Amino acid sequence: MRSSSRYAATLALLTALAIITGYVEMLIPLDFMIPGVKLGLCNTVVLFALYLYSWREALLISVCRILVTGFLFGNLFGMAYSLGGAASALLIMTLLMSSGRSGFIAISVSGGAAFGLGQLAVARIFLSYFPFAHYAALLILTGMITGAVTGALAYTVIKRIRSDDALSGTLS
Amino acid sequence: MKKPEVKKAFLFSRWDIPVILFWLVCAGCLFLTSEGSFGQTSAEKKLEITVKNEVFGVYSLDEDRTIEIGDKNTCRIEGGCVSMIYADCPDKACERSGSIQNPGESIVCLPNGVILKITGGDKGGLDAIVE
Repeated sequence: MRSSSRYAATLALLTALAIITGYVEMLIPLDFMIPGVKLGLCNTVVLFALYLYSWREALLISVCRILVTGFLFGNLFGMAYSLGGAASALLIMTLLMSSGRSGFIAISVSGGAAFGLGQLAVARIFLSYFPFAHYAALLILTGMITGAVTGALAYTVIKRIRSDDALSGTLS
Repeated sequence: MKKPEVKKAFLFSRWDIPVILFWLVCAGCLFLTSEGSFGQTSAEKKLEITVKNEVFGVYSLDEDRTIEIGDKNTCRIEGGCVSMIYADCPDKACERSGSIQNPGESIVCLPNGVILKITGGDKGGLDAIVE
């Protein structure tokens, strides 16, 4: 039986993790040529939450992470982009994960690609003109690469936690 | 304590391959339909057309096209350069202006009130920066 305080504590911990990884991401800017390219490290945490709980928790963590990071590190405008990206990424990842047949790599790759596309969709609303198709292709590709890495990372973490009985008892 | 039900999790499964291929195909198609202008970041060069002080349209310089502004003027974007190829004004000074391509440059058809202006680019139209 899940204890609600444990649940709350775990969620808070994961949110904090997401915020920190989001911050670390900002320290390593990849967007010299293409705006909006990110490492996607925080997706590891989101993916982890998605696996452990459900899309609701993952959504909560994601939104909190974006809000806090946006307010703390002063990028309010970028928040809109991140929210759009995170929403679409979460949608795709939830669909894939609940199908039960998808490996983590595919889930994370799709999440990374969807994140980029979601960002572009938001940008489309704000900006009148830019080479949309061109950026979309690039963001998908970079999203796939970072997604593969974060997917492998999340999978490794889950595997380790599950194999350690003491920890796996704690988490759920 | 009841052992929690362990959900399946795999790194890679057969079903991953079509998913990954799907995204690659998406990226490929988008790349092909794009204008293929690499290296152009948000500092894009655009042609801004104003007619009698109202913005008529904003166009990218990347795509070659012919733009008819009403029935009085026609301009052409070709190879990143803009020129006025037709104007029904008497002096045709605009047609003889040649072509422009750098931010800040403009071609004006005074009688018809049409201004073709290049915006965007690296310095946003500044001619010089003194520090």
